[in-house]
Amino acid sequence: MHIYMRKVDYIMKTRRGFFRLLLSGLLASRFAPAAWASPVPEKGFHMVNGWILTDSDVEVLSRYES
Amino acid sequence: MIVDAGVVDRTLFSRVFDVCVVGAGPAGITLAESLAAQNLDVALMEAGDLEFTSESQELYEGDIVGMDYFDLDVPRLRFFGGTSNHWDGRSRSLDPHDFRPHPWHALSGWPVTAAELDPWRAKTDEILDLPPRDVFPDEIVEGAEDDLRSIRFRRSPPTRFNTKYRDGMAASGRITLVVNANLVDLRLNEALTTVETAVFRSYDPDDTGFTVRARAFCLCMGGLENPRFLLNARSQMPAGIGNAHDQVGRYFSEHPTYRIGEVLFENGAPKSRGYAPTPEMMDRLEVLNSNILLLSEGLDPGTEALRSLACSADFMEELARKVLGRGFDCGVGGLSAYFEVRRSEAWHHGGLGIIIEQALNPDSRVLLSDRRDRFGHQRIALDWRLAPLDIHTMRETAVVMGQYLASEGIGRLQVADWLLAEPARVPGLWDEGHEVALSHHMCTTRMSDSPKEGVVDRNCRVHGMENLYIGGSSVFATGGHANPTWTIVILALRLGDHLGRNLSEHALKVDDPAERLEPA
Repeated sequence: MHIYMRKVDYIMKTRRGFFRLLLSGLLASRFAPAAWASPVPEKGFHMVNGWILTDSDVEVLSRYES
Repeated sequence: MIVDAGVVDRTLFSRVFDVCVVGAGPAGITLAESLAAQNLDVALMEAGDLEFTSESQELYEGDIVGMDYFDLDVPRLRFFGGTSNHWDGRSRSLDPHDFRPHPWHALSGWPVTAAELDPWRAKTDEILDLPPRDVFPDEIVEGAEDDLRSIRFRRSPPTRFNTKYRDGMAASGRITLVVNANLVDLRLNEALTTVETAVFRSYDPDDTGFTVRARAFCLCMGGLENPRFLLNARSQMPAGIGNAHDQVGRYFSEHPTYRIGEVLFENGAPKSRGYAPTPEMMDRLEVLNSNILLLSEGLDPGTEALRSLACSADFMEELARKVLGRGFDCGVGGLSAYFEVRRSEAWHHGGLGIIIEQALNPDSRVLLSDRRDRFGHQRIALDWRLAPLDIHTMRETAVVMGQYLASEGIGRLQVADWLLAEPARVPGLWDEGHEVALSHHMCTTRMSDSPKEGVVDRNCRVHGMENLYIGGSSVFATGGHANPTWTIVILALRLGDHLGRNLSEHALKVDDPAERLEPA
């Protein structure tokens, strides 16, 4: 595959992956069954794939490769 | 004076001592010295010799029936000086918050406050050869004032009680140190409320034993051995001494120690640093105390310089790679491949460790094994267990640290998979990067106002007994996160003063037990 096509393919895959991760993190936080089952970051923070990120991080990462 | 139980003329024990202290580690030695300074006659009975011997150490072997734990003859030492013979010297008092009850932590709170220990602080520091307390004050953490404080431990040289006190013991006219004397039983009065004699045996297989009489007795054998002995002492009490409410051995607490996250630093790795939660954070999030360790684990400067030439990715680029799980792409051929392998060691990489106070858990306990030692006592079966509150503490503390690192631009934290899993997959001894525990054995004869919630009262006296006391970390009501030696010593000093006062003011009843006792 041409290097350019590989790059596009890579971006598309990872962007989809990132949003899926973000969504699952937000859902897990919102619908945690009990306070002792899952830690919930405070407002202004997110947990994505275990990473504690700021609003700003999320914004930058979501358009990082675009 | 110092005598050996295997060869000493046993008429030495025809007298009645003021106090018989069993166990010559930091608690026992501190207590004996304190009592002698008050002109009391002390029999200090040590099961081991003046130096390490295999025949003594072997008696520490036991079984692990709960979570992964060290072999029981490894983390402690059974000879004069006890476990101070391999102590690393980290010292810190418990926090005032540790002594208070907390509604989310069942049975928490001590019968005494931190302030009640103040009179013995200076002497404790002197015994442990510590620098002044204010050398390392806790500090407010900028940007996390409500949640975190920066903490450091004071370091003892470390004090080896064996070398520090041996010559003094040999010259003492008040302390009779008896080595190679293994406690095999306590004989009680008919009402089962007073210890009249303690029965000991040396290592000689033909030794039928000898008794020591005293006005008061104190067990200072260690956080595992104190409950083991009481559970084994069933010659007159079927459940063991002090165990009317099935409390002996319960609440076994360690300092669980795990790596709970990986850190990507934003502007290079800072120096490794220790934190602790503020009382406000603990109350708000309903978490236990902890020592949080921000660990820098970078490459050496030369290797890092080479790495940065090969890959000059900025922080957000690296964060994107890590969060999105992408490969590392620095683009400089072989070098990038090399650093692909080593990327987790880069200068801006680190970890987050935690040492937590363990929740009081009645199912985490010292039990007795079916195996017996040379004196017929059942060995330990250690059933160490964590509780949901322990996992909750690690998770919430990790998130607070992650928020702090991110908001202050220090770095980003990835909370460990094992901790976020439901249920948490707690690492074992052989999982790399995790210490698991710190060989601190606490709370197994805990201090409580009610005999239904512990074994000793606020003065370390066994509930229901007139003259039986316990010293050492087994009496801790809760474990806090601090290393226990400092608190062991200060409690021994407090107990020494209590016994000194009591034995001076009251003539404890010793109704000629030598006349009535059967031969040992």
